[in-house]
Amino acid sequence: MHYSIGDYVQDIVENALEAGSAYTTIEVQEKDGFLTVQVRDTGKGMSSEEISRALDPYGTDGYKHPKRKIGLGLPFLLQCIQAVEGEFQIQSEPQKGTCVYFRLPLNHIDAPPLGNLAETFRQILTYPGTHEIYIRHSREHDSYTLLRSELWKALGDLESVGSQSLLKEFLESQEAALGKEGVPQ
Amino acid sequence: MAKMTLEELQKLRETKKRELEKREVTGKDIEIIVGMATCGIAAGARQTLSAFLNELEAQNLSNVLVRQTGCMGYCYAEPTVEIHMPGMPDIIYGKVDPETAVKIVRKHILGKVLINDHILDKPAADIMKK
Repeated sequence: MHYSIGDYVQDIVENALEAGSAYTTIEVQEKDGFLTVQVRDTGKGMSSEEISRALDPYGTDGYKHPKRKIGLGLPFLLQCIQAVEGEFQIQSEPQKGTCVYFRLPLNHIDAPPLGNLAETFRQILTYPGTHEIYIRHSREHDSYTLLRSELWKALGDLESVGSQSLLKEFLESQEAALGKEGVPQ
Repeated sequence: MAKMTLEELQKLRETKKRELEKREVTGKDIEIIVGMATCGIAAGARQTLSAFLNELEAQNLSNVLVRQTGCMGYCYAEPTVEIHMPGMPDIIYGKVDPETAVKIVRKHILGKVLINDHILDKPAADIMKK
C-alpha cells in the first residue's frame, strides 16, 4: 500500500494524465471527520471489463510493459479503503473519461495520514504537458481553488526549480489559510 | 503566513528572474526526470523529487528542469531518476532515496562525478525489444 492519502491521489491523477485527460478535476474535502476525494478526468475512459481489470492487482492493460502481469495503482487504494471501512466508486465510459471517488473516516486507526497536500498538489500540477487541472481543497467551512493554467501564466513555466519553489510557497500559503480543525497531518 | 494571490506570485517570479539575469546562471541545460508511477510512489519517489528541488534551490541551481514521468520499467529499483546534462553521459540512477538525491546534485551535477553504485546500466530484460 502507499503511505499517505497524497500518494493515492497522485497515483490516480497520474493514471488520468497518462489516459490523455485534457481537463482533470481534483476535489479534496475534509468535513465532520471524513475525507472525501474525487478525481474526474476526460481521458480515454474504460469499458466495464477494463475497470474490472484495473481493480485486479494481477491485471493490467499490457500496453506499457506487455510482459508484466500486475497493475497495483487502484488495487492499493481499494485495499486501503476496505481496511478503513470507507467508500469507493469508479465510473468510466470509453472516450469520455473516468471518475474515481473515495471517502474514509479520518479517525479510523488504519486511516493513512493525509500527508503534505501542498507538496502533493505541487507534484500533480508540475506533471509535464499542456493539460488543465482544477483543484479544490476544502476543510470544514474554508476552501481554496487552483487552476493549472493560471499558475503557469503567473510563473512562466512549471518545470524549472525556481518556479517549482515559488509554487510550493504559494501552495503552502493556501494550505495555511485553511482552518486547522480536523485532520492530523 | 498570509494567503498569497496569483498577482503576488507573478511579482515574486519576476523579481527572482531579474536576480537570476544579474548573475551568471548555470543549470539551463540540465534536466532531471523522476519516475512517478505506482512503483515509484510506493518506493518514495515523491520524497526523492522534493529532495531534488530543495537541494537544487539550496545550491542556487534555479534553472535546472525537474520533470516527472511514468514507469520506466525498473519497478525493482525505484525510485529511478534520469539525468541529462552537458559534459556527462545520459544516466539512469536507481534506488534514489532523498539522501542519494542530494548526493546526485552535489557529485554528479556540481562535481561531474558518477555515483557508481546507483547506475542502472541496462534496461530491465523483460521490457527490451528483441
